[in-house]
Order: sequence, then structure tokens, then C-alpha cells
Amino acid sequence: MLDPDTFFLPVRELGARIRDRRLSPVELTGACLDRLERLGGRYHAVVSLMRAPALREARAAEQEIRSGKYRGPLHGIPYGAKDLLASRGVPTTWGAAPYRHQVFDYDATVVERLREAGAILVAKLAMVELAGGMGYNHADASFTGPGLSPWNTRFWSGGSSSGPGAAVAAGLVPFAIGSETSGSILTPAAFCGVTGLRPTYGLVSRHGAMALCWTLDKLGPMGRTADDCGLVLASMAGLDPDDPSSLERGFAYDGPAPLARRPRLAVPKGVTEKVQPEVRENFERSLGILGELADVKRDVEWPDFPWGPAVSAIVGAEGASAFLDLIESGRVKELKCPKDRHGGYAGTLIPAVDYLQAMRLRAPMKRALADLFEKYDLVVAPTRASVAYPADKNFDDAYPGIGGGPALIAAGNLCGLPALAVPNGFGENGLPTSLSLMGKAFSEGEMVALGDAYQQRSDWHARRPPGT
Amino acid sequence: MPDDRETRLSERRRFLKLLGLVGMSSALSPPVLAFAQVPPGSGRPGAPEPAASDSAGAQGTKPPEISDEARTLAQVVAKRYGAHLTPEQLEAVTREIDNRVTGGKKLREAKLANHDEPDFTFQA
Repeated sequence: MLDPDTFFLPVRELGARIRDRRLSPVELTGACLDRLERLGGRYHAVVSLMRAPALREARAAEQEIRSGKYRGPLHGIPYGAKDLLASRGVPTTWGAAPYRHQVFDYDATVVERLREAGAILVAKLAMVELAGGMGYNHADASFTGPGLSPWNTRFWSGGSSSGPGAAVAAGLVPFAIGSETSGSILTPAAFCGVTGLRPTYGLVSRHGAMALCWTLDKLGPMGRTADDCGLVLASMAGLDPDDPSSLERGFAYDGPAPLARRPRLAVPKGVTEKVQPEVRENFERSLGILGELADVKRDVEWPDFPWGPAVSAIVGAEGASAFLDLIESGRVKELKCPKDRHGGYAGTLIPAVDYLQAMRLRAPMKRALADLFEKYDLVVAPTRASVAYPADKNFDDAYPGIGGGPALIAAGNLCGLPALAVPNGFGENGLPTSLSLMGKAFSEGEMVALGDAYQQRSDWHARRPPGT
Repeated sequence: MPDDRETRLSERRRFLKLLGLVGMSSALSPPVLAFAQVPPGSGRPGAPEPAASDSAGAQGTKPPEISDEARTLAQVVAKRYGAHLTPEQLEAVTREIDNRVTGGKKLREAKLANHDEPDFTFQA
């Protein structure tokens, strides 16, 4: 029987114990499967358990390590995947009732790569139906039920990577893979109090992942620490002939690089004006810690572009195209969230000119942020303006008057830039708050290094939700 | 009991009323008028992350009026997909179209040069 603290150890520590044969991959995998089975339903976090194949892979990992073939820090580590990643022979539901029996006969590239690294897929994790592409406005937007925060189950776990956020927070898996089109890794990371990394667009192959928006979709890790996210990303990144958008440039990482010089951090103007008081207080305290490590410049002007309308037009048009058959057939009425049952129809009418205007704007948007990143290494801001939304309210009614200032999530996604969310305290109702770092393309190493340095000086990432 | 034709006409009248088009002499309003009636957007339809709550969505705030342009465009949705939508859903779609019309206006206002290409490249 494993000590419950084991389930909250970082991947790096678990990996070291497995390597040194102080921890059995079979025992860890079996225990994670048991926890997923026992606690997963509490948070509506699990779609499919993969008990038999996972235990088979765990036994193989144990055998390999015993025989001296150690693959690296993920060898023998269980993980969960958002249920939009194809995994051979197991349902891949995209969180949506119309696809609940869908089975692919191949694995997504990231699943293959993580298997090559020795990681063990133990569960397909819940998500907002169709990754939120139909415009959901309520937590109850998945056929598996509303994702709930392990910190307080009256509140949402965030979306659209709801299951990965909750499962990592509750210690059901050491890490998980989520996806982000515009905020779907950062938001559940923030609402669940875990660390989430959105990679640069193209760094990770999307082959085998549900397409919502070809020019915005990205896959990334969610874990306990920034260092863990770095380890997982290193195993996922790199060119894939099956994904034309993937890049040859990989991500080499074996640990956080020492900060070569004091990073220059920009705090955009207005990021705390309308946030919840605890979000502001926690952010200020975080800036105090970051100020020991970096030069912080406040009230930096954020480039003025129609970030929100641009991401909305692109997601709306590409999403309507990706799911045109579902929309035109009327099968969207099988979706859970009432708004999702009609949300795609407006997308079918987006003028091509509006879509192209948005796509044309991405070049000057990228230039403007590139100019900003000439002066600053990273942008820092609260990840979300509030703690998690109540699970029983429409989002618009959750926290009236609360807002986040500049549209950093939309901007970062439109420009394909990486971001890292790390927990930085607690707010209303015992719910976590979060801090985000965003950098220029391929700056994951710097972000992880600073995130790690922050986590060396704080312990928010090591806190455990009640009852776990 | 009304005959089929009368039922259909009655349904059509109800539907046009819903779209706010009863009595309009033309399906298309002058664009200037339509834009003049475009209210500030209150949401970000289609964004996969939840939009942060804002004052426009606050409880008790009356939703802004839907523009004629959006109602006209909603006719297309009604014609194409009306069989799949209830009147309430169609009204919601009309509001979403209205938000998109507002967003589209903001995109068109942004300054772009003739040589600014979309950020994707076709390769033969």
C-alpha cells in the first residue's frame, strides 16, 4: 500500500524512485487506477479507465528497468490524456454524446511518443464537449457531467481540459495531457491549482487529436510543477510527418536551466483592475517573489488589436467547418449544454472576409508582440480574473463585474506563443488562484526555469485538496 | 380545425415575428442603419475558454437590442437549419450572429495594407 503522499510527488521524484527501484511501476499504476476509479467520479474527471493495457505496460516497464534499460524520467509513470487524443481500441469521445462510441485504430502521436518514453496511459480524461467549440456557457457541458474542482466540488474544474486539471489536482495521475485552442490548458490549470504549459504552436504534433481549429489547436502537459511540465513536453515535442504544422525544432530539457541573467518581466497595464481582491493580493505577493529573481516593469501598454473578435472569428469559422456535418445534420441537439445545441449555427455564417481579416491581422499582431518581447523576456499576469466559477451558474452570472483586462489568452493563442500557469494562492471558497507567464515563441525553457524558481520559493503547487 | 396551408402561414408569421421581419418591405436593411443599431458585444461566441464575466453580462442587465442586420442574416439560418431549431434557439442564434456582426465590424476597422497576407501559406 503506497503512502498517500506518493500521489502528490512530482514526476521527477517518482521517476527517481522508479529508477532506483524504490517504487514499482506496477504498484504505482495499480494505485493510480484505483484512485481514478474511486475518486474520479467525484469530479466527473474520467471517461475510460485503461486498466488492462496500463498494467501490461507497467509490468513491461518494471521488467525493462530491472534488466537495466531505463528510458528516462517518464519511464513507468502513469498519466491521463484528455479524451480528444486517439488511443487505439478505446473509445475517444471528444466529451460529446454523438461520439461516445467512437473508436480509432491508431494512437495519437503524443500517445505514441509518451509510450516510447515509458509513460503509461491509465485513463482517458473528461473534457468539455468538442473542446468548447460550440460556445458553451455552463460547466455542465460534457456527457460525463460537469467537471468539478477537487478544492470545492460546488465549483467548476475549468475547461475545456476539465478532467486533466481535476485528475492532476486530486493526485489521480502524476501528469496529464490537455489541449488549448484559446485558454483550455491555462484555465483548468488555474481553477484546479495545478501547473499547465501551453507550448508554442507547432512544437507538438496534433496528429490523432480532435481538430477544432487547425490554426490554433495545441497540446500540452498539465502537472504538479513547472519542471514536470518541462520533462513531459520534452518527450512530446518535435517534427511529425503526420502533422504538417509540426516543427523540426524539438524541446530539449533535462532540468531547469539556471537563470543566465535577471529576466525582464512585463506586467501589462490593467491586468488587476477588475480582478477579484484575492487574485490581486496573490498576484502582488507573487510579484514580490518574482522581483527577487527578475526586473519587473509594471503598467506596460498592451498592443491594441481586436484580439477577442479575431479569435472568435477564427474559432467560429474553423470550428463550424470542422463540425459542419454535426451542425447540418442537427445532431448538435445531442450535446449536453443547451448553448452548444445551437452555438454552431451562427459560425456557419461568418463571412469569409471576416475570417480572412482575422487571419491577416495575425501577422501584425505577431510583429507587435515580437517588438514587446524585444524589451521584455516574459509577460506576467493573473491567469484568470477570478477563482473557479460556480458549477450551477452560467458563466456570465458567476462573478458580475469581474474581468481580466487585456485579452492575454486570446493574444497568446493568436500569435502561437507559449504560456505557463502556476498556482499562486487561494481565494474565495478555498479555491486556487494562478499566475501566468507568457513568452516569445520557443521560450518554454525560460518560462519553465522561472516557473521552477518561483515554485522553489513557494509551496502552492504542493498543497493538496481536501479529502484526497 | 385550420387546414395545412393556414397552419403553415401561421407558423411562418410566427417565425417572421420572431425574426423581427414582419412588415419589412425588404429582407435587407441599409448597412449603415444596421451598423448604427449594433450594440456593444457582450460575449465571445465560440471561444473554447470561458469568457470572463463582465458587466454586460451582469444579472439584471437588459440584453441589448438585436440589429436588423443580424435578424436578416438569421433568415439564412432559418432557411437552412430551421428544422433543427426551436424559436427560442433561433432567437439565441440571432443574438450570436449579432455579436459576430459586431466582432466583424471591429475586424474590418483594423488597418491592413494590401500586401498583408493571411497568416497561412498555400504550397503546391
